[in-house]
Amino acid sequence: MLPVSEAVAATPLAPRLTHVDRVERETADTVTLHVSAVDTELPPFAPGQFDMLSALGVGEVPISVSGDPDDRVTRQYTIRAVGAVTRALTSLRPGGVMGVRGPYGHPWPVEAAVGADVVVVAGGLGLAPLRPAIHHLLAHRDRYGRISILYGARSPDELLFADEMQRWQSDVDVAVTVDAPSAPGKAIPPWDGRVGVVTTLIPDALFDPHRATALVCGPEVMMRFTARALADQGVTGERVYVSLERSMACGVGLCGHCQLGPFFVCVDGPVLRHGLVGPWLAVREL
Amino acid sequence: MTAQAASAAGDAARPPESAEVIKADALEDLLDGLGRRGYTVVGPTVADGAIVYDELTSVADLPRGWTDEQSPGRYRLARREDEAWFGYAVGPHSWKRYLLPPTHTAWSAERTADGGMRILDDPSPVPRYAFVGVRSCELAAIAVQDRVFIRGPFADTVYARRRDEVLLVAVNCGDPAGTCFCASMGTGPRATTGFDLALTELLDDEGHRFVVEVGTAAGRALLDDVTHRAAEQRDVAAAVDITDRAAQRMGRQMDVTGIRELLYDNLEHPRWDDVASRCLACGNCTLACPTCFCTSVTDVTDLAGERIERQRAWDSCFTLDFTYTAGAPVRGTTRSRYRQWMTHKLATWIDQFGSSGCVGCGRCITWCPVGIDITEEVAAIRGTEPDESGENET
Amino acid sequence: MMTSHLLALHPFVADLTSEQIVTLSTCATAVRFAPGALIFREGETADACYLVRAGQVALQLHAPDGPLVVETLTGEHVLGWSWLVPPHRWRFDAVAVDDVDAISLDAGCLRRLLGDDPALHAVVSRQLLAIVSDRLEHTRVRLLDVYGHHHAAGV
Repeated sequence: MLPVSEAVAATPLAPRLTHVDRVERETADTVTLHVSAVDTELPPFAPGQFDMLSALGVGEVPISVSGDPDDRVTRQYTIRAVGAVTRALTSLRPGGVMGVRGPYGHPWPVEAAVGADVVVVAGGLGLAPLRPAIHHLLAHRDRYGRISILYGARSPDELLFADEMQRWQSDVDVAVTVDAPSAPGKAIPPWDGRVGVVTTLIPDALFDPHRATALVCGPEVMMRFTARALADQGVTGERVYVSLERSMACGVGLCGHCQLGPFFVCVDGPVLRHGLVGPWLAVREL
Repeated sequence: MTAQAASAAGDAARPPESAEVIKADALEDLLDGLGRRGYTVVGPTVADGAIVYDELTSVADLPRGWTDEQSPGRYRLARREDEAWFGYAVGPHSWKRYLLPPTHTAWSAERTADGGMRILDDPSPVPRYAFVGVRSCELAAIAVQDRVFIRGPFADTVYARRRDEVLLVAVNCGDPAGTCFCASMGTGPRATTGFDLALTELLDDEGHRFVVEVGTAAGRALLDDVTHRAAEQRDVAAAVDITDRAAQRMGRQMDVTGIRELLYDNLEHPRWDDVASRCLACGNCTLACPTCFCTSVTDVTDLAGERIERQRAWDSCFTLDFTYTAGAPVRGTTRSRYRQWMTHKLATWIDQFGSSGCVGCGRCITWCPVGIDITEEVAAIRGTEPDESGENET
Repeated sequence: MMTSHLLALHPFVADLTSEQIVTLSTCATAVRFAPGALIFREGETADACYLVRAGQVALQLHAPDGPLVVETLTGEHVLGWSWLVPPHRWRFDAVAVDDVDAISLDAGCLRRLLGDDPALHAVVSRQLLAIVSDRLEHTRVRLLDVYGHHHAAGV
């Protein structure tokens, strides 16, 4: 395959071509794609950064990298099929071609969190952007205090990375809860774990609220309630980080779509300190 | 120009260091000089009842003897009493259409013989434009877009390549429109920076001529190709007088004192509902605005899927799709979309790019089909802001 | 009957005076439930308020095809407030998921104490109201099915 020409590579909007190596089904509508670059290696990413993924001929979407940041060869993306582009991406088979450009955006503050407890709170698919941070925390386990991973999902069949979570449990505290352990007309594996919103896991988690850093990702409503529950425990917004989701067409601060008040979510985020962004999130339809 | 002349003219702004004069006829030579240097000359011309920007082949294409009458929601051409070539304010076009074309191909790809894909070179050569007749507010707008497209963490190569090649011949504004407020925004009417040449058109007893200020070496070289003479004090005084009088005749004004805080503190002001009841969310203001920069992309393929183009087009924050996220638009109401546009332009822009996004050109007022006036909206919010003591100032 | 010391450790009594705690302890018994044990059953008389000290409890409803878990409660929490509200009948089943250590406050004893001491009544009612509103909020958030609204993977 011919290399991407220098002239085109200069435009920040042109992707590199990648091959899909493997497709892992996570849930009924969600898969994890393992991809590698066709010619040059993809530049390394930091946990929390995202790439712009192109389904060629369909369009482009921002997707957080969900794999291990130390894996320099393969990039993983966990994608839920919801629109035309994500449907095309999740339909790719091994050998399929996909465009990738990135990584973009501000990562999780895994360095700033060193030396203290870390609370990771994920809701639904929000675990995917946090997974590289979890990989990092585990790889540098001795640099952190207590680590708690609190994860909430709609139902047991919608839990991501369930096997991996079992392994995480040997090094860190993991608590999982679901909204609904069973659903009418849906065959769901039996669930004997917790039932309730993810915020109910927070009071039981062990961390020093005055020093701990919280990494939160999930739907905006969930993040709002989580930030409030963390504040109830004494974790101020200055140490609560959220990963935001807004419409992004370029990922590089040029298209204007992802603005939230003074922030461009693509370049100022997607990870932002809740203490900073919370007041803007509180303004409706901003 | 001497210091005495500057003070005599009452011009507090930077007086021209030195100025020269060309006769009106010499402008044709100047355009020819641009042509010889390989520039495509773009400037004002009359088309479809408006003064628009298009390629100029000679000074005959200029809107000689025309002016524009502008008020909220209204634009009309009218005959001038003189034969001025630049005797209007600004039209619906702005230079952004040449620096970032309304639609263009971001990149393309084609299928290779082995069944893979490859990304293709952008085959289009970078156009080399000379903009003639750039207003001071428009120079400010280009500077604003430079900050967006070139000074950010990622440069927009489409814009940057065109911008690198552009030569700017400004023409100072002597006849502001009813919707102009550049004086409030500190962006005009006299061009002080950012040009290769800046002209002031004079039509007085001494004949039709231009006072020329040189901004760059490229401008100097261009001027040296045409017949010119050193400006005399009265030429310069007359030129400064033109823009001084223009500054006094701004159709509108905007009080920008603390405007960032004013808007941040009033994101839930009832005025947003009021303006939403008038706004059609048509997006005309964003298209006419010389600094609005938002774009969207669409993939276009041939039927066989052999070739793909990612096409990029101007977009507007007034469309419902603009913020479509997670199954729904974030800004679902006209109220929120107008608020976004105006607070971005006047407030969050300052946080993002270090300056206002508004240059006071008035296009959004003129080209709004229902005549929404950004200066009036700011004044309304300022006039009814709940004050610190909790009492209303109304 | 148990010492007031154990009771004093539970957050439920944080706002009570030590005298009130001693008074309350006259209604208290330490109880323990093995995994799977039914703590109370829907429809039966709500005869106790459980201050759970440790262990997970599932609140559930019985359906023809098996139990439906409504919510699980862990850590130190309060289980049951039907004893306060007529007709004093449990509205759900409560099942111990693992070993559950709790303090059982006898409902009749408790209602008598609250009737005698309006100040105690006020504090206890306020505590319970805070718990009820928390649980209601949790339930409402779950009703929104928020996780389903998240597209793509974070951004």
